[in-house]
Amino acid sequence: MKKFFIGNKNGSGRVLSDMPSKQKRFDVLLNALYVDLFRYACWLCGNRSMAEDLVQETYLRAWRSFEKLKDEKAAKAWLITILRRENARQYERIQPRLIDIEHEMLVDTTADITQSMESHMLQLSISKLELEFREPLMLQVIGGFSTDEIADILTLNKNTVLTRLFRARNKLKIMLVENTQQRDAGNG
Amino acid sequence: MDDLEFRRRAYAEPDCRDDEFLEKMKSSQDNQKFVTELQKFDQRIKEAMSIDVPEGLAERILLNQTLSQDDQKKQRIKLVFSIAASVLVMVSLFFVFSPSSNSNIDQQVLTHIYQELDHLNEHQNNDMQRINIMLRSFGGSLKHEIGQVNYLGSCNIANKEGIHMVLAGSKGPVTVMLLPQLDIDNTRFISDQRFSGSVFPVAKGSMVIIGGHGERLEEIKQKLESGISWVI
Repeated sequence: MKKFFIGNKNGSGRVLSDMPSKQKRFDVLLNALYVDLFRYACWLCGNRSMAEDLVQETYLRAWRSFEKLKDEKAAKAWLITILRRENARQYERIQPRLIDIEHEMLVDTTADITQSMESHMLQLSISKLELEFREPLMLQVIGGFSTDEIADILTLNKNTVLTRLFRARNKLKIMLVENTQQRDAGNG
Repeated sequence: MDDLEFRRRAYAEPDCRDDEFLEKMKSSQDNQKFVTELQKFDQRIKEAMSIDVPEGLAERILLNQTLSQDDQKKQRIKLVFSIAASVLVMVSLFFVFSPSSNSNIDQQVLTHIYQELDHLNEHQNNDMQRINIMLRSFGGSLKHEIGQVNYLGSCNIANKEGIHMVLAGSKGPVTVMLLPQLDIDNTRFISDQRFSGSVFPVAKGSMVIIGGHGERLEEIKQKLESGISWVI
């Protein structure tokens, strides 16, 4: 399927407003954003099938209140807000069980072995990050959102977001160094 | 901006575009290198976060949305017709002893068309992909184009789910219902003061084609019969 992204930093959202029907606009939104939304949902709830349910429910809710989407450049932030709310509603009660990211979710069959191992180690480290650090990082890296936009989505102030982003990368770097040391010690 | 602040900011936002930050970055090669390395690290994080997406997810979302759209409309229609329904209950008492559940298919078909008259004026212009998604859920698929499809949704005739389409005919809209789960023995002609057509057995279940009086339904029938294949 053809993929094209509506980034928050480019102006391609403008194209959407010229589309004639609600269904066409919805189709564009679906094709442009479902990949990012699915990945976001995976890292949010830690389980592929739950992530798929979340994305399905998000698009259903989006369709039902499509008229609320005034500025289609903000579509991605709008969908992520719906998805986060849905996640909170459905899964927050059982969240402690879900904090462990499923191992099978992380297996990547496409990359070559060396790259895959490195990527896998990084995935494991990301999965060990607490959600309060992982989520702003996801919004920045997968979503391409600015710090101000992340602050809006997470309803935090900008300085808190900056601190969490700093700590997220810092923790990741530390975990990676520790992992490498453990692996070297194991080999020696 | 001092060194510590610069480094913290680089960790928080490697692609930061603030003037103060950019100036500090350009002031030394070490700073430049520091930021470039973090940007490369971000690239790796992005790759690590890029989990494989399940095959057919977009199609499943689309199908779900199409079906829910129908549910919403049905709920609205149910509300409007609930009062009329109570009157109909009285009338239907006369037919309680009707021997066959299939005997009033023609009436059910007409009722469904009248209940959803607004579909005759839709202009969705569904492409083959959308029609195929719908068909696949009933075990069918398109072999070739079947003409302009202005509405695509679901229907329920004699408690059997089916696909409801409105095609562009030569004189106006033509309603087509694919009812793969509804077997009938022979063709029944359906007609009232506004519409005429028929319901007839096909390779899987039955098919309804109804248009305005004088519509050339035979052409549409041939196009549909040759254009749709069913897994039996």
